[in-house]
Amino acid sequence: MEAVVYTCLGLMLVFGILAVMLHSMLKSAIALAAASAALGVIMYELGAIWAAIFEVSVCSGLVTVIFISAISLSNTDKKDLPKLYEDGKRMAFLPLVLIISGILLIVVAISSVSSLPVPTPVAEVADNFREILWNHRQADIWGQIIVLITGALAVAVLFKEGELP
Amino acid sequence: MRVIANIQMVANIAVLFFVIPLAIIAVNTLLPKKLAGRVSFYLGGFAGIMQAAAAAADFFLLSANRLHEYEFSLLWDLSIEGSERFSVDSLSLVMLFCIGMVTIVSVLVAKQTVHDRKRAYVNLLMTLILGMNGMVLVTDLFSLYVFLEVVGLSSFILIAMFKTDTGLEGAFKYLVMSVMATVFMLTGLAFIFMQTGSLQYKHVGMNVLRFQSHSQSVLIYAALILLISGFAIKTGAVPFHSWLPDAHQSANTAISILLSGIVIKVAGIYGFIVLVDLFNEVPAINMTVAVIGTVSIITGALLAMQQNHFKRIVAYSSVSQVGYILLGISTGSTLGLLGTVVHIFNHATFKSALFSNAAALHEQVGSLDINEMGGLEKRMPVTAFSSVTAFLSTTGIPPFAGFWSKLLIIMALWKSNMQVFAGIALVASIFTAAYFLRIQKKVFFGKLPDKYENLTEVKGTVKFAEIMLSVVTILTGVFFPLALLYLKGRGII
Amino acid sequence: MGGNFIFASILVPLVGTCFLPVIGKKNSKLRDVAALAFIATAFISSTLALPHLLSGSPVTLHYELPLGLSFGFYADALAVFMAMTASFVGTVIVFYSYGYMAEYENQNEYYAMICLFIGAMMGLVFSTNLIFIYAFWEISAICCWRLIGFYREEITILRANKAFIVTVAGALVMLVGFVGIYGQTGTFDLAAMKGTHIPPWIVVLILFGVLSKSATFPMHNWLPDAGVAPSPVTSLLHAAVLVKIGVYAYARLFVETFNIDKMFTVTVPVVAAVSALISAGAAMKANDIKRVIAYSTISQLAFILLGLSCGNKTGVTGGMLYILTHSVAKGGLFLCAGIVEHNVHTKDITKMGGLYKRMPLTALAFMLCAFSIMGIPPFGGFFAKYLVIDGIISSGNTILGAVFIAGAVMTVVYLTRLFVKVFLGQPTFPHVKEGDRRMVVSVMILAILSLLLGIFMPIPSGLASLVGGGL
Repeated sequence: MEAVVYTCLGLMLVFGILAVMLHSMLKSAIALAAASAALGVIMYELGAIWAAIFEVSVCSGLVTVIFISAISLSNTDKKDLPKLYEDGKRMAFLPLVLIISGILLIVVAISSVSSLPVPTPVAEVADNFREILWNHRQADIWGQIIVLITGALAVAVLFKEGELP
Repeated sequence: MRVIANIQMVANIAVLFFVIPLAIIAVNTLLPKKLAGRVSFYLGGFAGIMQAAAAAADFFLLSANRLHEYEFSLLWDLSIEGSERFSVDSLSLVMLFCIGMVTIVSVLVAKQTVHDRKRAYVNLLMTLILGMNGMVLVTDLFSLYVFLEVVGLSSFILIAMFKTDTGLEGAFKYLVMSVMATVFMLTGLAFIFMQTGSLQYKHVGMNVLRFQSHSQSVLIYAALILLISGFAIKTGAVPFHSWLPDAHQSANTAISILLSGIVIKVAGIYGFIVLVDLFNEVPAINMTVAVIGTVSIITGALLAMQQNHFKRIVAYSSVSQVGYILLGISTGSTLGLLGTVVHIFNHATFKSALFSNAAALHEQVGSLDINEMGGLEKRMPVTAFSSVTAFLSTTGIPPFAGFWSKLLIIMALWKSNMQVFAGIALVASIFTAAYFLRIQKKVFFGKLPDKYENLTEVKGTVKFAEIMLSVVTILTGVFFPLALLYLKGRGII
Repeated sequence: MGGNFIFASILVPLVGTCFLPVIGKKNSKLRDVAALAFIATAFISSTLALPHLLSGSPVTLHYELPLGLSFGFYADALAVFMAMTASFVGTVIVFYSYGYMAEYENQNEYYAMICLFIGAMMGLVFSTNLIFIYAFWEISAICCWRLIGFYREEITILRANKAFIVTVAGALVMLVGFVGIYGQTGTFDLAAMKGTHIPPWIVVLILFGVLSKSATFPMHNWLPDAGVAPSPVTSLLHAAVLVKIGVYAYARLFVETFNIDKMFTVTVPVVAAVSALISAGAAMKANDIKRVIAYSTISQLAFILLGLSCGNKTGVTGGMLYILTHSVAKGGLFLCAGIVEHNVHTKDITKMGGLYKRMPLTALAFMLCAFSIMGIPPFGGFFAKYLVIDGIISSGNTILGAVFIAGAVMTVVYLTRLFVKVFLGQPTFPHVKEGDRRMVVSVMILAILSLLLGIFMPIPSGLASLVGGGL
């Protein structure tokens, strides 16, 4: 179990970096989908079944579909994006940042893993997910709705090349 | 009977805070393109006016009934055990009013500075308002975070949407800092959740101090440090202030008004208020916030003195004023909170006025480099007068409104045994005076160069916004003692 | 109850300020008259408070506000004395301005700021609450800033900024002192705190404000620099009224209301003595007509502070009388200097000479005002100086008394030097004429008043002696 989690953490990191650094938007979207798929696996392994399901279906599935359709609508892939920075310069700092953050994370993990208290158990999530969502976290639902609206507006504004009123 | 009917009204009016912006988005999206372009700003202004009116109405209703808060829901059943709720109280109503007021000013300025994508601008403005409304109305730390994300996303898009080179750069810096803030806050929330098992305000306040072991106290302290850092990033307090000037300088002025006028306050300051309120028994939290505040005041003012771009000076001024607000929060007393709230309102007013002046200067002169200007008050008297009132209010000079809020904060600090902070804060006002005098000398108060002989005053909605804000500043300052009498009569102080 | 209308009319200038630019846009003559009317109203109203005061029940107004604030006015001897002095000199100077300012732009702002300033002064002297005293104090700083920078030249703006920074910094430190008083007593109301003892550190903080506003060493440098303002501004703000705010605050707070340690009756006079000597020395060497008179003002203000701080009634009466005679005479001196530099177009006294032939009336007025400042009987200034020195000697400080007599001698020297260089000697500027009639009438009014104050000394000194009732 541990091995799966750590492998997926690594995969998530790699795909995440690729998503940011790749020049082609299409490839970036796919890398993002792969990263969130890895995250979904981690969540499943840690016992958050419902969270895993939502993560994979929304982020890997739905969001990727939206991105790819927006990309195809906006024709950006076909143009040649001007390379403002040399790839060499962009990538140069990357290993350094990764190594330093890796060391920090390891130090934090080792020093706290023995002293972290066991989290107080919350109500059984698996069975009563629907009840918790609808009865206990209603404000969050409104928040999510508004996030979705904002996201849609954001995509419309940032990616549409045509004239907007 | 009448009292009960009034109380229900509070909930009915409060629902408007969500319904109106959503309705405006719907209307705006469904209109045909050409019509939307012409009508969007009016819709946006309508939303702002309704928001301000609703907030004022609820405030008077609450205080007339001598209540301090009222819970309500939006289409769900409040009686279910453990359900979440929205809650209005006097503090959140004042913030809601400020949100409405700054929206109005932003739309007024946008009418002259935003020339395309008007519909998208108003829609994003509505989601921004929704996010901010949500933040001040929830009673759960996680929901606070969700709505904070809405605010962050909307403001990022607003900064970036006009796709100028500098706009994208400023937006990118803002995005990176926002993501850092998000990570900090989520980690902090996770730590708190591990300790208390629930993130509702009422549960967190009670449970957090039951330390059973050393590791638990480390957890809570770590959580607090992370949360404070996250909110400090959102507020633009030192040492996380570096994104503020760039974001303001590169964004369209209508958006700078929103950012400085209300977003940094709702997204950041309100978070601080919640934190200090929930964790006020943790020693050192007051002192930490006070130190952050004091350093912000001095650093912001010193940095503002060296800038040459009008909007950057105003942005650093925001950093400095945010410090005063943080000092007010750090006292933990009612007087301090009153000073904080009044300063939030005053800051919204005079900062919006200053950015309206920036918009006017940009429209008429074409550049915002203060070294190219001089003696402009001869041709732009309204803008000059508005900038003088705004700057005097910022410095805290009577009879303008800024004086009273600063005085309340200083009095609160003194009474809470933080006299040194009070002294530093008061004397640091002289730095504010220094950069204010410099900008006045370079821009307005001097001899008019020949190249500006044909300059005219800005017309239309920007001029109206400037005049309106100056009048508000002056009237609030002159009649402030009456407001104090009203608050005393209603039992709030 | 009926006396309260006095306060409304005293604050007429404050409200009238808003209307002056509006009136001025339509009709500039009407605006000039309106400005004079507002300020004259303040003078008449403060005089009307006299009968109530003399009959033993001064007019009072008081509203309680939460948080230790209060809003109130109190027309006691100190307040009425200051108000009458300030508003009278203000009225004369507005009349003078008709002649002096006629050819400049921005007149609307000028008259509005003068009116606002007099209104703030009225509010300040009648206020019974520390916060409102501070509020009016700062309003006067705003007026000072706009008026010094009136000509909109680079140098005038720089000097205006400097004056603003120095006085506002002092006022902010003073405000810390006020909040300290609040922390100790829980209120800002002066009537409620009469006789309270306040610790020395608060007194020192408040002294920062007093010394900066009244241009006492070491915060005196802004005053000679402020001479770039138009002469009526220098006369009103920097000789007659604004610089009196600091010494007024000293009288109001430390003579009338609070109880302070004995050591301040020695330390404050020492500071004043240093200020007086340094500025008198500078006055003897300066060559700019307004700078000489400005250094003289710093010196005379030190005299006033000496009188008020030496801790006995003679000194306080002397100090108050000095405020009156100095305001009238120094105001007049600056106005005369204004006539000279307005017609001659320079402020350098080495270039002037023999102007008594061209401007006889101005020269006469200058001489009369100078005699009052020098302290020559029977001018009013003599009695004031005498009482101050009497006060300082009877409080045991003979050395300081000697220092002040030395200062008085230096005053005679530099004022005589000034008069000789400007008005006597080889005639220069052959084409210069006497000043505008309105300007000359104004200076003659002030000059003759200086003489009359001395001749009819019992009247003002009777009022002045009512101040400091607790001593």
